[in-house]
Amino acid sequence: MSLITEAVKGIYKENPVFRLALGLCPVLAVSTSIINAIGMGAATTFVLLSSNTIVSLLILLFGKILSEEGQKSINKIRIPMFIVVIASFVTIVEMVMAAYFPELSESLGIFIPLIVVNCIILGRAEGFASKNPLLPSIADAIGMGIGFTLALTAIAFIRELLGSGALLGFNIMGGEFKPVLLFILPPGAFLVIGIYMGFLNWLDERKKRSS
Amino acid sequence: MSNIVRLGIVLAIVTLIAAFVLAEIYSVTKPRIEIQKKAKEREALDYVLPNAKVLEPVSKKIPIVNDEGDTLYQKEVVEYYRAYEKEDSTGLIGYAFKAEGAGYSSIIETMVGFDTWGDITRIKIISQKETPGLGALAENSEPFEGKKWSTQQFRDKSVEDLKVDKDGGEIVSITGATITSRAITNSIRTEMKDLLNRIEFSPKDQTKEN
Amino acid sequence: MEYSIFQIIILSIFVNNFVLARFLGLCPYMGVSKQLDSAIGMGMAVTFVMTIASLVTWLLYTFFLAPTYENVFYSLFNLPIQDVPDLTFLRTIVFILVIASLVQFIEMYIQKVSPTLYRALGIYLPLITTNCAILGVAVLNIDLFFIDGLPAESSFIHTIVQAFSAGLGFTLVLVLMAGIRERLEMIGIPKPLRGLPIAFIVAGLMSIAFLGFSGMNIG
Repeated sequence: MSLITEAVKGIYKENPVFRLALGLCPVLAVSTSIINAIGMGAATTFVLLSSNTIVSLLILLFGKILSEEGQKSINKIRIPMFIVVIASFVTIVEMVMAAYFPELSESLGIFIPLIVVNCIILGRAEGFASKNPLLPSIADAIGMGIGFTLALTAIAFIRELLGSGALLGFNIMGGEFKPVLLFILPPGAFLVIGIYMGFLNWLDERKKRSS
Repeated sequence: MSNIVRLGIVLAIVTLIAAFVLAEIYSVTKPRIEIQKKAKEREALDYVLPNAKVLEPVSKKIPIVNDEGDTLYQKEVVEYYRAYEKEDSTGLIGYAFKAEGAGYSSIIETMVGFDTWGDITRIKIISQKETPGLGALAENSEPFEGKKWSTQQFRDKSVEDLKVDKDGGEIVSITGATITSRAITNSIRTEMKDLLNRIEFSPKDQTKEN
Repeated sequence: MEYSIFQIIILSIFVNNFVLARFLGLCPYMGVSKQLDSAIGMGMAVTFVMTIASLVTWLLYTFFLAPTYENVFYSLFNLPIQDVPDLTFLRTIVFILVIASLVQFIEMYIQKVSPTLYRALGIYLPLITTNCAILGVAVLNIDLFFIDGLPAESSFIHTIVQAFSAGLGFTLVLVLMAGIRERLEMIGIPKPLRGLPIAFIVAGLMSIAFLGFSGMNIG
C-alpha cells in the first residue's frame, strides 16, 4: 500500500515540475512536440530509476561491509559518487539514443547530456534513495519519472496543438486553422507553464475554500 | 590526511568502474552511430540524383600545418560527388555537393545535385533549425505549383537562375521567411559557381532530351 | 561554417540568449531574480565560473578525450594516431566532475584571497554546480566549435568568447527580470498567479522581445 502512495505522490501532489519547480530547463526546451516530450520523459525516467536503484543498493552495501566509522567517512564523498552514477547512466542513454533513435537524439540535442544536472535526479538520489530501502526508492523513481513525463506531455500537448495544429505529427485542426506560431517558439513555453502553474494554484485554492 | 587519500582512491575506483562499463557500451553502439550518420548522407544523395548507380566522392587534401611550418598530416575532405549511370563507374550523369548558408536562426545545409548540362536535378535540406512554421517550411518538397515554396522548384534551374523573387529572380520565397529562402538559394548559387569553376565544367554538347 | 568573433558575441548575448532562447540556467533565473543586488551578484558569479569551466573542459577534451593530433597520447607519448584512444564518450562524466570540483575550488580560493569578493559572490557559488547553463555551455562549445580539421587555437578562442558572452547574456536577462519583479511586488496580482506563475509569464513576454533579435543581419 505504502509503495503505491510513494509512487503516486510524484504524479500530482509532489509533481516535480508544477509543484517543486525542478528540472525546468528540459521541460521548456523540448516540449515543442509530444514525441520529444515522451522521449525526454522516458530518458529521464530511465536515469532516475537506475540511479535510485544503484544509490539505494550502494548505501545498503556500505552498511553491510563498512564499520560505523567507515560509513561516516564514505558519507563525505556521497555526492560525487552519486554524480558519477548518474552521469554514467546519462551517457548510456546518450549512446543508445544516438545509435537507435537518431532523429529523437538530434531533436533533443544538448538536453540529453544535460539530464545529468536535472535537479530532480540528484535530488531524489540524495533526498530519497540514500535514506530509503530498495523498493520504496524504485517506487519513488517511477512516480517522479511518470510525473515529470506527464507534466512535459501536458505542456507539449498545448504547444503542439496550438502552435502547429497537430498532435503527434497528425494535423487534427483542419485546414482552416491558422497555427499560432508563438506557442512553438520559446515564449510559448514560458507562457504555457506559467498559466498551468497558476491554474493548479487556483484549483488548490478552491479546494481549500470549500473544505 | 590519509583519510582524504583513501576517499580519493574509493572515488577513483568508482569512476574507473563506470568508465569501463561505458567503454563496453560505446564499443557496441559506435559502429551503429556511424552507420546512422552515413545513411542520412546517402539518403540525401540518392534523393538528389535518383538515376545514379554509383556515387564517387571526390576529396581534396588540406595540409594541417603546425607552428614551425611543418606539415603534420593531410586531412581529407569530401568536396563533391560524381554520379555514374552504370555499376562499373562509367557514364557520368551528374554531380552532387553540399551547400551551407546562414539562415534566420541557424546554418542551413542543403544537398544539391546537378546534371552534365549544369542544371539542378533536385535539392534536399539536410539540416536546419529555422523558426518552426516559417523558415522550417524550407523542407517542403511537395510538387511545385508556382505559388508556394517547394524544393522541387529548383529543378532544371541553372546557376544564373538562382535568385529569389525579392531579388528579381524566379525562386518563389517562403511566405514570411525571405531570409531563409535567400540563404538557401544564395548558398547554392555561390558554392555551385565555385565548384563549376574548379572542375572546369562545360555543358555537354548535346541537346537535352526530355 | 565558421562564425566570426563578433557574430559569436552578438549571437550568444542576444539571439541565442541562454535563458530566453536556449532554456539554460532557469533555476537561478527564477530563484535569484527577486532582488536587483542578488541578481547582479549571481550574474557575475555565473559569468566567472562559465568562463573558467569552459577553459578547463576545453583543455581536457582537446588534450585527453578527443583522438586528435593535440591529444597527449600522440604529442607526448608518440602513439600512432590510429591508436590514440577515443574517450569522447566520457565527456559528460568528466565535465560534470570537473565543474563540481572547480566550483568548490573557486569558492575556497576566493574565500582566501579576497574576502570582499567572497562576501559578494560566496553564497551563489554552491548554487552554480547544478546550474545547467555551465555544463550546457561546456557541451555547446564542443558541439559548435570542435570541428574536425579546424586549428585548435580558433576553437579555443571561440570557446572562451562564447562562454564569456553567454554569461553576460545571462546576467543581462537576470538583471532585467529582477528589475521587473521588484516592481511586481507592489502590484495587485490575482492570488493564484503570484510568485512563480507570473514570473514565467513575464519571462515569456521578455522572450517575445528577444525574438526580435533573431534574423538580425550580422553577417
